[in-house]
Amino acid sequence: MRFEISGFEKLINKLSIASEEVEQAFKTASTEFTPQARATIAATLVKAAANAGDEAFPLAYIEPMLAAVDNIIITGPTELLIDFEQLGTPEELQEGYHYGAKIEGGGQVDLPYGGEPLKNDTEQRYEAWQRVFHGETWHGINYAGVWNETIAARLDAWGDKAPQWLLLQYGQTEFDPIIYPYPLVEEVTFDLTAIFDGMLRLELNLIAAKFNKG
Amino acid sequence: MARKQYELRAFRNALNDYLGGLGWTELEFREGFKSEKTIQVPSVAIHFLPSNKEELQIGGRGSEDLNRRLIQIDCYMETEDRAEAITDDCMDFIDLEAVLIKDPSDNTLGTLICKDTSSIYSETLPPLLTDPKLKRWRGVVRATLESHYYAP
Repeated sequence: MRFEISGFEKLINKLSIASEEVEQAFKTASTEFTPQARATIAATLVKAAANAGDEAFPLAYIEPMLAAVDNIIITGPTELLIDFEQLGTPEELQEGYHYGAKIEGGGQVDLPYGGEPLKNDTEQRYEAWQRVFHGETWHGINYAGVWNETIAARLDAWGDKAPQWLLLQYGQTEFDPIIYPYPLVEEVTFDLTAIFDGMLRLELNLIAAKFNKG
Repeated sequence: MARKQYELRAFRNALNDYLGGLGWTELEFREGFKSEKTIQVPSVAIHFLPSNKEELQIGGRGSEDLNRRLIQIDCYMETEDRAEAITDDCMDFIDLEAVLIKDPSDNTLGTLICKDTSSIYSETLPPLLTDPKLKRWRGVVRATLESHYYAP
């Protein structure tokens, strides 16, 4: 999912500025834009995580997600892209599923999960997962701390990617704890387009003013 | 009944008709997140996402009214192929169709339309469960629409 920060042609045409100067203005604006874009995306991710709540979206998920923000801002000589897929894909999210579940034929899932057939049925695993989530003892096994261990294993498997952003963006309403979707991509795109438009307009106006002065 | 609910119902009915015309039958439709019903396959769930951004509420034009609406459609299907196929059809629907917003007495109040084609996008998410009986692929479509209410 890539969003191009664009739509400045009208502005540029209106000011009738030479193409080299436009390129220079774009370059300056995009250099100044990157730290602001990073801060805006990070703030929106934090807002979305707060909206989800720390039960459904553990606090430990947030920091790696913010660290991955740098990967998604792509600036070229004449283009500016926000590529959310660089944060992580559904396939990468899936690599964090089923930690510790018994595998058919022996052994248990160690992340990243590669789609191995699981021994127990969904009902049994869901019951076990509830014990893990609440840190309870079940069938003589104490699950205290296993949820934190699961979170750590997921983060380790995801590495420098942060596919957990998909849970915030699209939500997860199939099972408890539910996460409602958040307009993350839309808010970021809306805010950054306005910010970059303002920056580019300022740069172009500076060039026009310099030109008019002679 | 709030305007948003009129829009949700109108959108659902129009999408149901559109998909039915393309051969998507026996779909179960859900509205909103708080449905008590278990998610079935195949099913389509329509959500209007909440927004607290003032910029998304473009105020009145004369006595008319215009609002931006962010819509998410979740399509739960048996296979990845079917999830991708139905999301493509949902994207076409949003891009091509104007939905008439009606009140319960069938009076037309306005239209719900997507003017920004580039705001339409989709993603296919793999099943959370591996159990073949419960396996469901989730196709998600998101788009920004405008609801335009006529002057009374």
